[in-house]
Amino acid sequence: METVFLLITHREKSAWSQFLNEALALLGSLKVVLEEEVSVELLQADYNVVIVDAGAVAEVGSFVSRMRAQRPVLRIVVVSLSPTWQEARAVLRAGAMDYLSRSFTKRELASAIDEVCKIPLGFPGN
Amino acid sequence: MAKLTILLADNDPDFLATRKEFLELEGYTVTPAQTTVEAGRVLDEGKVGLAVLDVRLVDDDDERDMSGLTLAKTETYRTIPKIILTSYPSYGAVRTALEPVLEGLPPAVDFVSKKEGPQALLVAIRRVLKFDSRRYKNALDMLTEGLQKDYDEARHQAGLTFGTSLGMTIAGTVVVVVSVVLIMMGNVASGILSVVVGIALEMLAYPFFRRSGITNARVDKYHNELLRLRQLEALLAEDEENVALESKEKYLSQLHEMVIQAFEQ
Repeated sequence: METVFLLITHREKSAWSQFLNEALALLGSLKVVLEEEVSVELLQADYNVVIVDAGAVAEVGSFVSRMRAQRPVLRIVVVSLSPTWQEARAVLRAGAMDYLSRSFTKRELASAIDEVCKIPLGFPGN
Repeated sequence: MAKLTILLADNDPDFLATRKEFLELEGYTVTPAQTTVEAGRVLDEGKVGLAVLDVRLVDDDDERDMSGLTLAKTETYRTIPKIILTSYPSYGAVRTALEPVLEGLPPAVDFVSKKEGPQALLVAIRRVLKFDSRRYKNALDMLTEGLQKDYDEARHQAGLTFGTSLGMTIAGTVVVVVSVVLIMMGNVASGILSVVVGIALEMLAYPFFRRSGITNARVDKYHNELLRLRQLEALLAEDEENVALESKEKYLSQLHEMVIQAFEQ
């Protein structure tokens, strides 16, 4: 079965989503949605990893918690343009499986997300 | 209810003393440790329910010192909940501490900056006890199942290697005894041959005997890990009781308010 990633960001077509799409091309396909479409999207399809652009949502920690409440078994990764330790703690506490920086290279992003895909469902945070 | 015992590891003796006093006033039993060796020794004893580890346990001025995190990542201690404490928080350190690993729990369950003060540490400790029971139930079940399998397999192997080494030792001894009898009866050539066979059997038994020791050590290791898991499960069950007690207290307080309101009317 094909690996499908979901990116939640503020614009469907952006340089960042294109960059991520290229980074993950070898692992699977990427679908891009806006924050307001997430709830419906998660009900309609299963995604291997949901990637949240921290800049696209108001309170990323609470956002991850809400997603986790809606779908308790889900791999969530947060990517931030300006990562901070407080935000990292908030999202990992909320149940995200990794917190990445947008400054990562394509290879680093792909490798980190590939690692997340390998974590079996049912472990803490997913 | 038994008090929770916390390992508090920090290389700064003043900080260690003040935080120990603070946590003891909050009702916890605190075992302090100033070095990774001391902390490891306390964790090995298996008596702590939670470990609070400073990131830089060797040298506060060394940016590369991640000894506390390394200790948290040690597989032997994976079932002990840990809180990482540091004066130098970074998002990389948070990632290392809190992101789930492939085959187990995250190295730590929370991350606190020393600059956030003692209250933040207290909140983190309370949060660990609260959310562990919900969030870590699945992982604990999976770990217990996996460990039980490893334990059973190690016990089976230990029995098999011990049986083989014992069988070969007995066979070798019997052959040597027979050879002595043969020599005494004058059949020297057959006797010497039997001695050689007997000694060869004893020598062959030795690697199995050694292997038996290794597999026994594995059995002990898995047994200790299972015991730790049981302790953690007991701790979580204790926490569920606390929650129940809190709900009960809340209910009693509501009842009390209702009675007061009824009298006021």
